Amino acid sequence: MDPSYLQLAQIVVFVIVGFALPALGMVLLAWVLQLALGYHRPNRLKNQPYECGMRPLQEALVQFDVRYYLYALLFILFDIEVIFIIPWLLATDNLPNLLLGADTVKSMMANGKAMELIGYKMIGPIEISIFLTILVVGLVYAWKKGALEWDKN
Amino acid sequence: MIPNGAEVFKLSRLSIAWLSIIFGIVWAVCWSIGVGLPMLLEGQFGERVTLINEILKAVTPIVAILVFIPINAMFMVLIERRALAIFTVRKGPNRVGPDGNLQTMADAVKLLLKEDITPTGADAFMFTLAPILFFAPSIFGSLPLLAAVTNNHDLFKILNLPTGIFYILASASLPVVALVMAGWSSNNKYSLVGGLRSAAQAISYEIPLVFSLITVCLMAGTLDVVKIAQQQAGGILNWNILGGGALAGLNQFFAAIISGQGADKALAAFYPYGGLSYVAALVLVPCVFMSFCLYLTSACAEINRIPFDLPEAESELVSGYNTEYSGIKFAIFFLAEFTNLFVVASITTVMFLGGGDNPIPPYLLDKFTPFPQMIAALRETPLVKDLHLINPETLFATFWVIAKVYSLVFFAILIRGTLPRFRIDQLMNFGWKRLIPLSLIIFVLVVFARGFVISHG
Repeated sequence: MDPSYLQLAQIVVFVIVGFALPALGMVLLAWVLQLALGYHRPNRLKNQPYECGMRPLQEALVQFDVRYYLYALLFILFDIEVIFIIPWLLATDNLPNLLLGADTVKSMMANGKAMELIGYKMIGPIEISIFLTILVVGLVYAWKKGALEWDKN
Repeated sequence: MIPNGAEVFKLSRLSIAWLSIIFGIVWAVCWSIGVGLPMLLEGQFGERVTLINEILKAVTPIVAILVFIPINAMFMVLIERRALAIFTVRKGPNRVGPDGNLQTMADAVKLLLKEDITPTGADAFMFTLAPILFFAPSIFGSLPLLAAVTNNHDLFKILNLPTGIFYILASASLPVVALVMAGWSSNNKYSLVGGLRSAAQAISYEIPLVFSLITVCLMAGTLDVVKIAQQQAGGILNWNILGGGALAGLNQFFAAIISGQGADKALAAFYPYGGLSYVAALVLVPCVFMSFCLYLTSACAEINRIPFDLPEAESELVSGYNTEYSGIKFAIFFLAEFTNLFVVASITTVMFLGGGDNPIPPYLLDKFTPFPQMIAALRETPLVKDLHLINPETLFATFWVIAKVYSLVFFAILIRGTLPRFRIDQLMNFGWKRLIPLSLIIFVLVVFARGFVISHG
């Protein structure tokens, strides 16, 4: 089978185990142990949401500031950027080999012609810096526009 | 004269006692399920039980986690309280058990028996789901790490993933959903603000965190945590904290000097561009060390430790997202927080501090200490040879992993005892205007400098 499918199956098993342990633990401890030994007598006052001892004034689900949304939008940019960087970092070392052939690269390194390889080695870094520059321009723009100011005053 | 010397003495005594109990229990469970029982079954029934044995071996890591997480969290809460008592020059827990060392066990029993309250108007389903969703990633996200911290031990080998770090980062970003869920479903204003703050904080500090880890992956050329840990073998100069392997050539050079041959060739093989290579190594060393500091800082923010514990700032928000939680659900939140701290310490150990590697390089260790002979002698003893009670290859690695991980945990507690809490605008400014540009600069420098050096990767 394709190893990537095996890996996917492994991750699925991990996630199931990860959810099963706390869920089972909670079910066993919370319901079985609580029913056997615990104390469960809810009443209206006890179940009231906590607000410093007073009765809650309005709905708890109040509106919140739009600033959170701006940060979230910027975050998505950077997070997707990272997803693009990861395949690049796995492939970049192979770039001289793809361009020149693995044997040629090996013999050049062995024969002290490493200097001639620098140009090929720098292709990957230059490409990723162009990619990063575009994003940095976006960050600088957001900064200048004041999207990163939490406290406007 | 150390102030509060009695508490310092108690802390060291309780750490040794608890650590030997914790790892003794874990070792006993692992051995009996993963090694002892299969051997017994095979002796009794021969070939017929192969499948059962395979299942037993696969289940061992899960049972180990199940046993380890609760007792480890209890231990960590205890050392945290004791250490904070030392830093603030007062007495730590001193009521339950000898020297108060069973205090957290009493707390755990209290939490389990406490009444479980669901507030009026709360979304009961989400309210119950949130603690599970918060805890689950710290388990399934740390499974590949387990293969790395146990030095690819036979029983834990199956947990390794080739895309290790990517998977760990992906699952590390899940708990924030649970915090927002907990805040939203509680029908409480404090909880809502706490949940939103945790979202804002987690997304801001995730970027420097990811960049600092990617810098290390770039130097190592792989995402596999076991490979990253194994590459760093060979003394402190090979560890990623010192240049991400840029000093591997130096290490080789010293080894050649000690052994007395090929010292000139060693440097040329790792630094093929002469002066340019040395400049690159000089750039890499501070850069990777900075990304280590960046990782510690942003991981502190990700797991809501002081000084970044805005989501549960008790002086402003009562208790933040877990204000309405009590009993077992609160216990699970609490457990997950300490497990996350432990996971972060393990990631740091594996990625930066060489995993189970000895800081003294092998060319010194083999020459001047009797450890290699001791391991060889140990391998011949019947306990190891017939019963496989311990694995002599990973014995010292286990010791180093435990020492490194708990030192980092202690460091986090030290930070908690030292720094005051950030304000929310300071927090966001520090994240977006300091850490993110810094992490980008480090990344670009490393991207270019690594081409000139041949690292161990």
